[in-house]
Amino acid sequence: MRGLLVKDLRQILQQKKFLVIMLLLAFFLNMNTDGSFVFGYLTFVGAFLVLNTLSYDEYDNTLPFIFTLPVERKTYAIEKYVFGLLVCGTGWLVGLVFALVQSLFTTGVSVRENLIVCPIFIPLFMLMLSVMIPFPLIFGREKGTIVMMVVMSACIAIVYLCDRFLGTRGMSLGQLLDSLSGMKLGMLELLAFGVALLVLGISCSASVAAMKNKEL
Amino acid sequence: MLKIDHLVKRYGAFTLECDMEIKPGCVTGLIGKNGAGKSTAFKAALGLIRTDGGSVKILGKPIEQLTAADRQGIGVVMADSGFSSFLSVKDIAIILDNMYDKFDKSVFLDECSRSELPFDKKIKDFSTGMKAKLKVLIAMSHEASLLILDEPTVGLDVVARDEILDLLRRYMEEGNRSILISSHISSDLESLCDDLYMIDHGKILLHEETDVLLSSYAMLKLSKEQYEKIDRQYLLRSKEEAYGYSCLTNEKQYYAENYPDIVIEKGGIDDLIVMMANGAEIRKGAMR
Repeated sequence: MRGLLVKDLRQILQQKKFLVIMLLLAFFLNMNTDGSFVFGYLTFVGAFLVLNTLSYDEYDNTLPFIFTLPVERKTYAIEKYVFGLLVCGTGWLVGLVFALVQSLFTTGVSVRENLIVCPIFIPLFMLMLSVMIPFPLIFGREKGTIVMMVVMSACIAIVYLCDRFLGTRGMSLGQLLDSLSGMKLGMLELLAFGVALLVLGISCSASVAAMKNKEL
Repeated sequence: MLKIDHLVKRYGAFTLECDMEIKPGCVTGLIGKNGAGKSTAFKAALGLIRTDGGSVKILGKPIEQLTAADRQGIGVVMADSGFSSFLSVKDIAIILDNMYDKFDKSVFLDECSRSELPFDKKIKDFSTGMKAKLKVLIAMSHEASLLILDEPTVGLDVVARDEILDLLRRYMEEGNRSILISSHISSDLESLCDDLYMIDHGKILLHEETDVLLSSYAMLKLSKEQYEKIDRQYLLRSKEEAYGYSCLTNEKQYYAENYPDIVIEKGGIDDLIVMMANGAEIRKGAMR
């Protein structure tokens, strides 16, 4: 696992200029927007970097060679999630520092406000990784993007149909979500974290199973 | 070290059927023309593709049970795959240091320096020869007991090929190590291998010790009359030529003693490949 993490890190460090520009952009945009922006932005950049490591492995047909190294297929799939959590986690921490700097130098933004809103981005990037990693891992980067679009469209269609079905019973999804807002924020964040962990586990298991059967 | 037993892999109309054994202390060559099934055999041996039958044992273990720790003992060069070309030698040294227990970073960098490989340049900017040398140095960098090298000299000039073969000879000096190497350049294998397998259309056509191949195999140049009369017992393949027939034998001495008037040419491995792949099988039977 350690070797793979180092490999992915060395690969994303090939894009040093891009990373510096992204960080500068995040810093300056953060000074002019509300505190939550920087968390969403930097964790998304983190997830994008994980996708890039998958592209590096696909480009030059590197994947078959990786499995001649002391690496098991299961470890390869799990490593992408671990790397994703580390990179997005780092993005989140950098976001926290930027948000605190913003609170110190901008009038009208309180430290407390930023600290309250930031934990919700942890389950959000976990969900993002759960969706973004398995498709390119299973189908390859190009085909994976198309399959991901199709699956996402199907999910939206299912949500729409559920809403229509609830409508026939005199309820709506909006009402269900409103009932959640009655919960305490801490509870809501804990619930979101639990759901994200479950989804991440399912996504990781699917990726491991797919990697075990992948022809190289 | 490596035993491939009745291995079967089907890709549409192509079927690989392979039996091979690589013994400790031996360099075994796999020769065959492009598309003969060499890379498929290597991928199957490394567990990279699912097989349709047979078994592979590597370092005494079935390939399905091979752990990451077991793979520390294997070094691999793949013809069409390697580390990302956006990395540099320096990056690769750091990765290998975190990947292998027995990797010695300073020795690896010394070897790269001796082979004139720049440390900071990205692999994509390397010449074909530099890329090939780096692949072999990576495979040899962690004291593996078995090297599996698929076309390590492909696309190289004579000098670069010779440098790689020298690296491999040095690797074998340690003793109790083995190499399985494939190439379609026979001269590379002639000078390096203890035994050779020949593959064509997915099937192993021949397995012989290199010394025997070079000393007992020969090409007979026969007129039509000589061809009709000759004892075909030790003829393996024949091919019609303008002057009559050329025939491949594995008993050069027999024909030299019994047919002193026929032309016998020392068979090189290239002749062997051409005859085994394109020559007609001989119907056995004494014609004397």
